[in-house]
Amino acid sequence: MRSLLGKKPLRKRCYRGLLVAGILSLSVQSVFGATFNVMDDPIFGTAKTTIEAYARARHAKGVNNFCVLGQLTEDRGKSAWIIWRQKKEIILWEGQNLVSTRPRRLIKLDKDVVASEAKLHGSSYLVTRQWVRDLISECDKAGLQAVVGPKG
Amino acid sequence: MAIQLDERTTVTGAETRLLMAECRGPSFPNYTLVAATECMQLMDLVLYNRLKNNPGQFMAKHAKTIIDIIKAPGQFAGFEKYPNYNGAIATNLQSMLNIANKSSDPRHQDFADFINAAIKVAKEVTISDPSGGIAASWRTQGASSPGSNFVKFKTVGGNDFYRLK
Repeated sequence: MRSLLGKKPLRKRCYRGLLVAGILSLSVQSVFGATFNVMDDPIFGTAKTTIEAYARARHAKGVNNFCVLGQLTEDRGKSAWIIWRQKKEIILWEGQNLVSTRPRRLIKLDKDVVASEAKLHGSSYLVTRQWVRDLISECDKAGLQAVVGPKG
Repeated sequence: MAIQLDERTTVTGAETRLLMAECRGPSFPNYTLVAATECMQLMDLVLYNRLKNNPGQFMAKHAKTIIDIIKAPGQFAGFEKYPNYNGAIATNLQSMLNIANKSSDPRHQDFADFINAAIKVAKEVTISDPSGGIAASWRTQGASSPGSNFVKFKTVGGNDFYRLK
């Protein structure tokens, strides 16, 4: 599963608390669909604090690397995929308080990924390896990179 | 009177829990009861369509009831071992019930309406199929298709709905 997550977490110096380095773009159309800059959005602009609170609520240990990709949906809605590299998870964030309302979708990369669409059998939550690769690639290009360090 | 879900082992109890878990509730921004209800009605339709149309293609080869459809491997996250189901889902559902049943909570009516909609949809007759075919799957909004033999026909309540090709 290591390969799905790319080479390795981005190299960053770890400071206590939360460090966020974002290389952000305007809303663009990509192979992954239309994306948006979470930091420009009044709801998703809380990404840094939301992720830190969520990581703490899940008792994250050590340094944890995240990537957040805002996605525009067909009905003009917004959501975001959060890639949590150390947990090997992809989390759907729909702007809710992630601590009090857990995500409707939490994809475990060691369990919920299949080789191809033929293996989905109409599943509501399994994803293909290609979809994961595309998401990670797009997030690395256009998403927000976040690091949650040990609690200070 | 406090809202209660049907027993977990009943068809309506199982379906109500799945609908509450899979459709966006009042905790989410941009929630509307109208969209949530439509989302639940379409999910109800998908479940019954699966039961009636070769359930084996949805990993439920010998399905006799909706519970067999719900617990089919790899189909609905956290429900594969039903009547045992994922702890985070159970926590979310219980939180919704707690809010709905606490009249001093300003959110209680919204949550009560959402839960009552799920109960009603699970108990009522399934809606006519609006898909132009056989509605057979849903995916989280913005996720990829559930397979090459599916065509998207509707997005509502945070989910994309698909019919068989």
